[in-house]
Amino acid sequence: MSITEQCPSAGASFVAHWSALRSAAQKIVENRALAEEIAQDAYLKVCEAEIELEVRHPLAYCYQAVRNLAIDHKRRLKMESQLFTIEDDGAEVVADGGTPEQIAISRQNLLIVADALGRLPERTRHAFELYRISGMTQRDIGAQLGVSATLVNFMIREASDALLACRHLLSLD
Amino acid sequence: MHTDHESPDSGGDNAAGEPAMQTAMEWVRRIHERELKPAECAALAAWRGSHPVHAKAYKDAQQLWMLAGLVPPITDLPARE
Repeated sequence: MSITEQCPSAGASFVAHWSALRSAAQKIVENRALAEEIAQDAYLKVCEAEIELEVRHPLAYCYQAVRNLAIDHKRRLKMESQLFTIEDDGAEVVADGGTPEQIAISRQNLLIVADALGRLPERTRHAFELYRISGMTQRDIGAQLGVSATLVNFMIREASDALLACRHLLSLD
Repeated sequence: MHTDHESPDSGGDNAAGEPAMQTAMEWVRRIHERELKPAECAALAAWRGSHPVHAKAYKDAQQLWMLAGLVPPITDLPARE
């Protein structure tokens, strides 16, 4: 058995499951070339992330990264391809081009955000992960955790506030 | 959630930054949950375009949301697909 099989890093898992991960992206963006770009972008992010952070479920994390990037891209394209912003002088400009952005996430930024989420109470963290990563509705999260949808909403806001609170520490362009 | 309105409460349009970040995060959460209606898209574009602080806030909120989505979960989440 190779080292990779004995203790697969997320990066190694990604490579080993590349076409399945790309297919997962393609299901969302419905374009093979774009899916490949997203897979490559996700791969880089996965490799960077696991340098700093513990990844308990490597392959699931690969899918998480691919889905996030694919959904993000699809939403942006859909929402912004025909929208314009009004500049100060009244000129209309397209808000964001339609090309995929290879956002270079700094490891430091990821660590700061991981730290902020890590300081949340356990149930709040759980609710936020179900929301952000599993994509569950607030109502379904309430059902899963056995709490009211109102409390879930409160916990999501709590997590969002934690994210906002660490914004000043981040290097964002 | 402000499902009946086109825009979340903007909490003031001053340049202090924080109200803009709150609004931006509300938009980001809304987009995360569902597809925006055309009127909402227009409202978001208008808000972003009305002040450079708004545009920056929205960009930062998107980055924060992206980063948050790349933090590996500590909970054992239900498997997808």
